[in-house]
Amino acid sequence: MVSLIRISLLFVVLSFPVGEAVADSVIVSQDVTEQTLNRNFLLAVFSMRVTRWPDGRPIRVFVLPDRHPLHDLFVKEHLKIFPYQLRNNWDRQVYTGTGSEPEQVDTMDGMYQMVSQTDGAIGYISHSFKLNLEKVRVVDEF
Amino acid sequence: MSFKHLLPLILSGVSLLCAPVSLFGAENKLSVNGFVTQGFFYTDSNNVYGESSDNGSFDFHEIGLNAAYRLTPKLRAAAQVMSRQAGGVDNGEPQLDYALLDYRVSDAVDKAFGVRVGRLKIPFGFYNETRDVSFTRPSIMLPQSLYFDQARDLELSIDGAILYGSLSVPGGWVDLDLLYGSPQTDTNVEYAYLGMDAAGKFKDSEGYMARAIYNSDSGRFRIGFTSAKYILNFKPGVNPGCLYNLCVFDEGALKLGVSVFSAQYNEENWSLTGEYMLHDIDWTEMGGVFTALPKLTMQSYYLQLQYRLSYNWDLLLRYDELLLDKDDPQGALNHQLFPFKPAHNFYAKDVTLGVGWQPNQDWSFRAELHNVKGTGWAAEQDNPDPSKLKKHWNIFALQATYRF
Repeated sequence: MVSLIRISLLFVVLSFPVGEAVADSVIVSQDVTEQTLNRNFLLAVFSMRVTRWPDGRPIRVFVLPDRHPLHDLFVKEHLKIFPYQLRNNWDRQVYTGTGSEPEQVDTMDGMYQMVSQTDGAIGYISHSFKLNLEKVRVVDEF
Repeated sequence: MSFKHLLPLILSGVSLLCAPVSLFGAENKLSVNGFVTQGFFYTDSNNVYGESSDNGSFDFHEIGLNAAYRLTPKLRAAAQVMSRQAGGVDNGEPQLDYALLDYRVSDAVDKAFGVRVGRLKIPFGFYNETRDVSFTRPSIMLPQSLYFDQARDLELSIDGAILYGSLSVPGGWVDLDLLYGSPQTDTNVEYAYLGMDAAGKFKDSEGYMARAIYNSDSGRFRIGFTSAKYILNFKPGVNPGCLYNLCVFDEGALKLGVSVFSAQYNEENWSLTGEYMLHDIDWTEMGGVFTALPKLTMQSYYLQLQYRLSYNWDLLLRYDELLLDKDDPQGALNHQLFPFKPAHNFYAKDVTLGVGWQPNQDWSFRAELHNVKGTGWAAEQDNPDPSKLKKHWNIFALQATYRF
């Protein structure tokens, strides 16, 4: 029942181009075709293990600083790991040449700007942030 | 402390950073990262990383600079140059740490896989690939029983190919690496496996390695297994004048086998890590001083607790044990066979206490105390006279790192 309410709220939100999301959200740029993303996919993407969207284009991952409360919340509550583990994974990949780390933005504004203006982008944003839903799409909530 | 190689490193870094701005442009194809680490070591007896037992040694730095470039969505190129100064073990000369092409065949979540070719970091245990990158280490010195510094050239990089993958399995995923190539074999390898700079050289070499790490519960629990075989072919040369022909060996292969079991449990505030290694060494074909004991198995393990007090502070407690000959834990038999080495040169038991402070993402500082019994991993290069080694010793170490 609760999930039904959440889904209907999401539809209400999505039907207005400008508005507040009801929860903290995972957002993608408009060119990304995926409608929803499950936790396994998000974990692989934010760990930088999976680097391309299913259509083959590169994924551009944006994160807030490790110590930002929303990063902490997203990683712990949604990805179900700890920020230090993600950081360890990124460092291991960057310093062995086997992968890269996400691009870091310092503020929620910066996050919204980058995700809305970058092809293939993914990030997350607080429920209190006013989104223009013509520029980014919400693919998951946490 | 030698910074004579710093200038070329910095110059190459600056030229990379001055690359055309379009490389950095909207597509973010190029990334450049680096770090500088300086260490200080003081020992009450025996030496680590320079003459640490006199007034302490600053003879330790690690400087790394890397770049990665995405050529196509599937193809990446990456390279890192490292300068490592570490007492008599490493002279700070810049080295190509890795330089590779990475072709990602599949990016499916349940089975991502690809292949890397070039000079590659060796995926052994949890820490080997980034052993010289201080902020990826739990401590200033990695547990020396497994990650001993002496044989580092063999463990550092390999010229060859790796097939890698990340496969979904019940409860989590498995990271898999299969490697074949030619390991680096310079004089340090002679110190590590022959105990001295030998009359001759290891020429061609080949190595196989496989590592699997099972990650369950989003990586909260990790368990891994590494297995490797190395064959190093020795070509005898002119005796540099060693006594009793101790450094003279026959032409033939030194055969090495490694098995490592690794396990880690991660909580928000603490991580518990343990690794156990069996390392088979076979000198049969080389003869010489090893005719008396042509084969042995080294046993290494450690158990480590990291406790995170906050984002800025962490504590470390570790017990690390090395037996150079698993069947001779006190070193008595080996001392009889090799009387120029004391019995405590065949084992080492290290209790480590450490503290780390990361005021922000760019800086990290560590301090650590080691209480060591035995000298099994005390490097010959820094301790040329084995008769002067003391069985009980302590190390105090400091380290500062800046990353960019």
